[in-house]
Amino acid sequence: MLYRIAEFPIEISFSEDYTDGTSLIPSFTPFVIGRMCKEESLLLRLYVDDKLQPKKENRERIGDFDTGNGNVIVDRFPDSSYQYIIKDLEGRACCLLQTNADFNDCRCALNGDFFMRQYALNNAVMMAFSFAASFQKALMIHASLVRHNGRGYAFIAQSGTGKSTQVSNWLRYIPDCDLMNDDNPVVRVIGEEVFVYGTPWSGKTPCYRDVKAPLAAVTRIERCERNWVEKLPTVAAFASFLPSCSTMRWDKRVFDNVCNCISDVIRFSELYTLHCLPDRESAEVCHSMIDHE
Amino acid sequence: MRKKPGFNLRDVCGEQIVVAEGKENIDFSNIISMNETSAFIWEALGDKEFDADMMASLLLEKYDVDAEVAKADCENLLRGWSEIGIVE
Repeated sequence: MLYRIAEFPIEISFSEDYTDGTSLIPSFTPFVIGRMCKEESLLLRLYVDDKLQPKKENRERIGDFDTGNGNVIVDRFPDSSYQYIIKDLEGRACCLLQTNADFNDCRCALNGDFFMRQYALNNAVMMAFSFAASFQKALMIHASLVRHNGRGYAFIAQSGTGKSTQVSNWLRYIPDCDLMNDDNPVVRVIGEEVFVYGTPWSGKTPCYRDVKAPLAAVTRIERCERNWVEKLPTVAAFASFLPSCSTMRWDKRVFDNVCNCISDVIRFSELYTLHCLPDRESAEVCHSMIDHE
Repeated sequence: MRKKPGFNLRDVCGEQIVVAEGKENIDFSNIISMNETSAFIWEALGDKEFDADMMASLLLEKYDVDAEVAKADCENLLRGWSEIGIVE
């Protein structure tokens, strides 16, 4: 099956053991395409086959990481290919994912009941997509994305800081707003412009939209006793944005891609911190300070 | 002293910053902002063994400064680098 996410075509196919593999990823339905355009090429292909076996020879254990959404064990091989074991929130291994060094040729095996497999395949595609897209000046970010007057406003924050509250206040009190994505939108640099996209990944909010908008601003939410907005200078902007981008600090090429892409986002767009209370006024203050058009 | 591996200088919109990378530095999340002079020294040191005297001589080659002042500044700078853990 072919999909187009953030204007990147990807292909997901299943071994004959799966009669209806696509039922595992219903959030991808809005992204289905019949075929690619002539000028397009695949960003990645993923083949799902439960007969895939873990590779043990020459593996270098990179680590066992808490992604905030379950743990992932990462192994690297001498040819820079990777193997990931994805665990669900209860710590059960539900996916073995193997990728080449460019993340455009991937295979995975799923394990467990229907819900574990759903979780597994969603996460496997998201990881492969994040790293493959980094080679094409695109970033998977952890953010909530609101569209207002046709432009995208991304909100980033540590969990529990009030990102959802800020976003729901925008949707409620600022005219002409809608939610593009609530957890994992994509940011993409094309020429000297930055665009943001909805994706099949949106956390707990079922907001799976094939939508695109020019990026207006990235705003970090910080709790404060009063509402005020700070425009971030370059270094502070970089330090604020990097922790919200999917990357792998141990992979030189992917990390370079991500840092360069962040640099472009800072060059062509604007980054802010909104110091705020969880109230209506904070959305209005934020909107009046960062909406220049 | 020697620069810790993986602490590479990057140009972000004309600003010089050091961001940790590599498997050894997964938990190092600070970003270090360098001015033009310290960025110049950081790059010029490469992966050689060095001390404050060697940093000062790099400085004297490029800038017209008093040798004593250069030495004192480099000692300070090196102390700062040690404190934030980017040299060993």
